[in-house]
Amino acid sequence: MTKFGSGQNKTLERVLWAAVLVCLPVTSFRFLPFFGDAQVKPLSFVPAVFLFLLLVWQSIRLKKVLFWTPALVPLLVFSFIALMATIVGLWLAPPDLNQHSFLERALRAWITFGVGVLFLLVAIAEVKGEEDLGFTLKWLYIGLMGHVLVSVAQWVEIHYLSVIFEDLPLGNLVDTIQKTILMAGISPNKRISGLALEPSWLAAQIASLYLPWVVAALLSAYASFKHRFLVYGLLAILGVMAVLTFSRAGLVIILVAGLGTLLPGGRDRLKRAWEWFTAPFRGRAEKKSLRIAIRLVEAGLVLAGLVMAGNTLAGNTYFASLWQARSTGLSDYFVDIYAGPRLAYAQAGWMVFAEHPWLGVGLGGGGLYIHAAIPTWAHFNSAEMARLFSPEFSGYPNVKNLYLRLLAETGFMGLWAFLAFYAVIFGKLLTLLRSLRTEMVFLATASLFSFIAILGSGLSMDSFAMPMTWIPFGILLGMADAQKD
Amino acid sequence: MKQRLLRSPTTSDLTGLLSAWRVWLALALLGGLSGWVAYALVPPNYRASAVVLVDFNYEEIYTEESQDRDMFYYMQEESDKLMEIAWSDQVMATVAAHSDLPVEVLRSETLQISQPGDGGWDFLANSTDPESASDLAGLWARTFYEVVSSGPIGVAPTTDILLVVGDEPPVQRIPAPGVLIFGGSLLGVAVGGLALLFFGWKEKA
Repeated sequence: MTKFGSGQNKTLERVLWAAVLVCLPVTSFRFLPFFGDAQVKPLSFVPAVFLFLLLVWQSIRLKKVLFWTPALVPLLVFSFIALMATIVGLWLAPPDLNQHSFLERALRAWITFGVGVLFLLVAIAEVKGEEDLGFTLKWLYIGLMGHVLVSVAQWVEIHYLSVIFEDLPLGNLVDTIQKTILMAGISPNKRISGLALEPSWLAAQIASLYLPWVVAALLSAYASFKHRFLVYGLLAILGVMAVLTFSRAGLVIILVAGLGTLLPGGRDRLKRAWEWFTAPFRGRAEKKSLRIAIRLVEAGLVLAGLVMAGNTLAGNTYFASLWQARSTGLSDYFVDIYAGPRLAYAQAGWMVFAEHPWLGVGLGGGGLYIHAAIPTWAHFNSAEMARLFSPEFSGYPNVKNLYLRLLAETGFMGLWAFLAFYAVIFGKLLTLLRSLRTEMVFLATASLFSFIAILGSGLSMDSFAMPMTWIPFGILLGMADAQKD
Repeated sequence: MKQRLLRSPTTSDLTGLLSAWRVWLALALLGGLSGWVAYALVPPNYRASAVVLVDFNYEEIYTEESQDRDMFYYMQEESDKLMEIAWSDQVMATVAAHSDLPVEVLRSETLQISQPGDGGWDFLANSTDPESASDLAGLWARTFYEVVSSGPIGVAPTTDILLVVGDEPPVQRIPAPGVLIFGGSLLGVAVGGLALLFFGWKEKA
């Protein structure tokens, strides 16, 4: 926690930071004020705002900005470019779309950007040492329990309640309760979403917030969790939840992040694990047969788990469409795997950028242009596209890819400025990976996993207001700065 | 300097370069400007797009009880027939007669047709001259429209077509300038970054 706060302030900071972490799973709280009809309405924003105000007050009192770090400079540069882009967007003056004006969307975009940066800043300020990190992880995983409980309830409803009590109120009890509190109910296609709006959002949270620390605990020598079985238990729970989301992007990202973390951060650990596994098979030892049997059973359990996961994924039509599609062209393939709209939006986003390369069309203004830029092939083979072009559609389309969105709305320099911020973060975690302090190596290993996951999630999400894309970076930057001090 | 050139970059070099965000932005800007200069010096061709609206009126043929498969096959067949007419000798000869280009060049390089289906078909023509591109695309679309409207054998009588954009179709350069600008910035970052990583600009003491 910050070194300079009074006792009462420290307690309040702790409580608010814990509240932020516990509320992270709720991505779309229905009753969050000022967010209108947005899908992204993080409940954790409420305690985060109060925490930020407290930090501002403390910064004024102590004459030191508690959430500043030099790594934020490229983000400031991005903000400047985005501001210029917004001014250009105002000058371009595009016509309204479904009663959405440029000014309204630009304001909304800047607010969501502010929300995201707020999560980054509070995380930087709140995690400054080993004790803070331990506190953070404790409450982060307490918050995970919310996801677990709701996921179990969803799974029970999907597979049992809806079957046994078909057409009765009890048959969709969880769905009804969920729709009362969140912006949407249970996802179709028998997929769980926990407290997140969509299964893919749950998978993204698992990849960027919850799994990294568990993987880091396995790969590093730092005793971050009290008991080893807790690490294995969390790994199993998160693995099962990730599989049951049937999120293709999420699972691929988890796989890539895992491999990307294993290579630089886990070679020694893997070597030790292999030596531990093969130890009973070598030489003579007491109760050798029993130890070999236990090893084989453990290996069998892991293998069985992987086979079950593969079987479960292959049994889901939505997931299996990845390899069952029989299309000849790229666009047809994307349509067949239910990703046609995403490709169409991405192409449209690129077209908008191609016409406005220097500063884009202004932050938030992309939707006013992509409607006209949707490619011809997408006009007649997708229900979502048909809804988009229908005169009754009142929503606002978006690119659904952060990088293409930045290109379209802030131009190529806006994208590079944002990527420069990512490059600075990557540089910091690479430096910490070589630290002599085990907690820093642990932090860097987890941050590497999060970094790859967040980088990957940008390919299918474009919202700035998701705390899971900012908090891991804030934790890294806060700890890295504290180490320098 | 020779030792610096021969030395492999270390992790410190990489982390230092990653933290040098001003370098990244400068490389991106220089690369983007280079792309823009390349676009100005060697501008890409113009492309004109004329539009013909095609409506297969399948709802007059198929009822709610019909199989989706039958409807898809029907639409595919009718699309293929119209595609063949669009590229037929009759249509190509008319377009070639009004331009200086032989039919082979029209078919292989100059003319393109967007992914056809139920809706607007884009008849595209590429040329170094915007007026030529516009004339070719418009002539092609009008000729196609006239041939199909005359009711050729094989085309379903329920198919309707309408010439939407045939006179002075819009023209733009393809690819758009943004493609070269972004490509230039990407190249600038990649090449510049690698050069700095391996060669650097400062000599180590």
